[in-house]
Amino acid sequence: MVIEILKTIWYFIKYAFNGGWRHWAFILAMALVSAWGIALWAGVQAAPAIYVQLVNHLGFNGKTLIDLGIRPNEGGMVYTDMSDSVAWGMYISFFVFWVGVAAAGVLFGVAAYGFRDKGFMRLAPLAEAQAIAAVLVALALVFFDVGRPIRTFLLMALPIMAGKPPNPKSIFTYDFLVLNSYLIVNIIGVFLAVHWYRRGPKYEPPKYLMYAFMVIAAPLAIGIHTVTGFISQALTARPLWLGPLLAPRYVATALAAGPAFLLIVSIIAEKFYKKYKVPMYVYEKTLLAAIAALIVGLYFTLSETQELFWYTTEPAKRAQAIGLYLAPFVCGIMKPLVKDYMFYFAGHNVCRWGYPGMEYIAILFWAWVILGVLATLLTIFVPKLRKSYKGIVFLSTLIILAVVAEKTFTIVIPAYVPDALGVLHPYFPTPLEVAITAGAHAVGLLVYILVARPVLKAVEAHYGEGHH
Amino acid sequence: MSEKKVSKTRRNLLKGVAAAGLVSVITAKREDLMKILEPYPKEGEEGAFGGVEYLEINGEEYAIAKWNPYRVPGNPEQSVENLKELAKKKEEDAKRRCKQSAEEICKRLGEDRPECKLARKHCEEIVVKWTLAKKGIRWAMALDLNKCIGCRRCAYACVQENNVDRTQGIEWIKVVNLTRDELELLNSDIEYTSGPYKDRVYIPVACNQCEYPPCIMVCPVRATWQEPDGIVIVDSYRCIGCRYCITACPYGARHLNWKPVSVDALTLNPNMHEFGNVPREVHTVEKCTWCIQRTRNGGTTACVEICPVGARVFGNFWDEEGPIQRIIKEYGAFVLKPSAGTKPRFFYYFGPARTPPLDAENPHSSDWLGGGKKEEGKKGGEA
Ligand code: SF4
Ligand code: SF4
Repeated sequence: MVIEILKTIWYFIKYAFNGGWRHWAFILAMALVSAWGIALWAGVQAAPAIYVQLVNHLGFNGKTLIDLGIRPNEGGMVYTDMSDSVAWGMYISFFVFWVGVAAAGVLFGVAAYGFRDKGFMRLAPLAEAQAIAAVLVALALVFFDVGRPIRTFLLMALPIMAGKPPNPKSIFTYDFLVLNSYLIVNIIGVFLAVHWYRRGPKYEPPKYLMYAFMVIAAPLAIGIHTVTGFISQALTARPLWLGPLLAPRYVATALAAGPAFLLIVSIIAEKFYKKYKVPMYVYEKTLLAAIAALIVGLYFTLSETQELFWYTTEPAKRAQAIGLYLAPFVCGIMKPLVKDYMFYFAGHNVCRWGYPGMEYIAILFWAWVILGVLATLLTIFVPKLRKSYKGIVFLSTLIILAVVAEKTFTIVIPAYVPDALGVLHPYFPTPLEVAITAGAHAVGLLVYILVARPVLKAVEAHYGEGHH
Repeated sequence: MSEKKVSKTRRNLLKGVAAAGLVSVITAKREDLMKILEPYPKEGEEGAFGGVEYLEINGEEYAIAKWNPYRVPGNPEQSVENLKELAKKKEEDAKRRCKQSAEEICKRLGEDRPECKLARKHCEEIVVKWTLAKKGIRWAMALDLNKCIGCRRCAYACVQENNVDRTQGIEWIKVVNLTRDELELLNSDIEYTSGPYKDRVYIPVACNQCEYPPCIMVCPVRATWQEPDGIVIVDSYRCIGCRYCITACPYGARHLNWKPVSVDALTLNPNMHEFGNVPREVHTVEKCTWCIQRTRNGGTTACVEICPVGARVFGNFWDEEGPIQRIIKEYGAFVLKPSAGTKPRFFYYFGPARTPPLDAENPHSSDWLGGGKKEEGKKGGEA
């Protein structure tokens, strides 16, 4: 038993690195991007916070840090475009998206083991690997977002892990808990799959283990995104978020983007792993499931639109919504609906792309609606597309783009514009934020490819010989 | 795969779910769950969010919030020790930072300049207090909107009193300039440069020291809590800069130090409280504390003191004879965004007389006393 487990670990290490030049090139590129992002984060954005915490609170020697380029009086979060008005920016925006992608992973496990569908079983381990990578991106983004990262670890992460959360009423506590549990559960899931699959076609993980895995992982998968929605949906201070639809909407579009991402990765993997084959019906069904989730998401948007614009709603809520919805080609429809509220925004010609300096929000919002509807129509009415690999990749890309447009900036930013005192403070990510966000993504992709290779090799070993 | 297998699988699945549910119901303690789920555990009317603990020092009764992370449950002496120790640590840090700044000033201007001496003196004078809240006090403030002329002197006094970093443009008090017909904050103009105008109302907004503050409920590390006298404070030695509280505050009262906080020994106010105006750390949140360093020792806040028209009143909310209750009884008061459910303890009211008087000839700030005064003012300026 112990020897077998050690062998599995060795299997992971061996196959993570024994790839061809393409594998290595990808690893190298991702390592470079993530190193660049982390260096910018530690050397510019978080530098004073790291210095103060290490030197003043933990008694480190400051000289070494200064030699490393971490100085107490330089850098800081001023180099991001966040402010007291727009307190959360690009990091949290993308955090929300990747939590969504992570949530979708395990549902393949449910489809596979719950219904003992052999086709889906081939996809499930890869889905778990994707969940690991996505949770890591999300956690990295939060870590890059907080002002005092080391203190976050000492005062929040450690006590929570020790079972003594400092504030059991903060939803952050629960988000941290579910995200980490989900990460661990998925690591175990991947490990279980590889542990048995690698030994060949006759080896299956014991059923009770897989049931246990599913029973724990499936609620967690829904849970991570629900709790992430709960972070923002109960705040009276941010009327645009305030409403019980935010968490369900998060989950709905998550179930669209996650599978779409997986489809693309799996189709690419089939090119490189000759014996890794997933039956076509799995792809088609997955795509249809993703589209169903996308339709629910679009429907939620419609429902929110009605609530925002039909009768009078809370002025602050509508003011925030105007920044989100307004665009020249809808002004004709929207203007009669919002004209009574126009006087609140005197001086701003709101019949342009949203608020000045925030045009990208309105553009992204309409990109979500248009791309979402387009993807839905194409999938449903053009069967040829969803039955070919190229078509599936195309449709999946559409879905991902639609959900990126919906789930990133357009969820987080508009709730801050105008802010609690009615001040319009535009936000646009600075190059530093973009670079650090890219770095966090690179960390995830790096982990993804390192985990995916042994997983795919094991799946090949299990299913590849033509058994099953 | 056969039909039978599928149904067996499903049955196993259901069994698993039932077992997991049972385990979690059995293992979770009911009291613990209640503690987490009950939103506002308050001991009657008196007391801070999470309850308070009373203790006696030299015959006087004081209170410590249970939500205070430095409190040792059931051991008030130890709690006080912890608070003292924290004050000492913060004092050392403040002195160190002040001296750094003083050295720079002295180097720049020369050792024998008065500025240099003043800077050094300030650093020597620094005292960081840990004064506790007295029992039976719940601070509140009231502001007469008919009097306020929107001069922003309170905002500046606040910056000076509370050692707010001058290089970041943070102001704890924001004066919102609205039309008189509808007090909707969306109409606000907070960057106005002239006034007062007759048709405008000026509403200074700072932390409302809410009775049910959403900002402290969201803080994942309990870096911010409500003191027994109602003041909501932030401990810059605990705050992790996640900005969840900024997101949760309906009044825009919280501000992050987005860059390293500079301490200027020349303008430093050496009278400090460990949870108030002691210089904050980089990437931590700060907010109005109703001058905790003054009010806990019998003083009043800097904004009340500076207000040229006496629009502000500060006092004990529970004192039936006190000014706050008198104002509420006489004029009636309102709070900002009552719908947010925060129960602010910052009351606004429209008092009996307007400043400037409605029949003043010119509505502008420099000349609302009338034409003659304006001329005089001008002459004085030129002379
Ligand atoms: S005004 Fe804002 S910061 Fe002050 S207590 Fe209320 S919610 Fe907290
Ligand atoms: S920013 Fe600081 S005070 Fe505010 S919630 Fe986060 S840790 Fe608490």
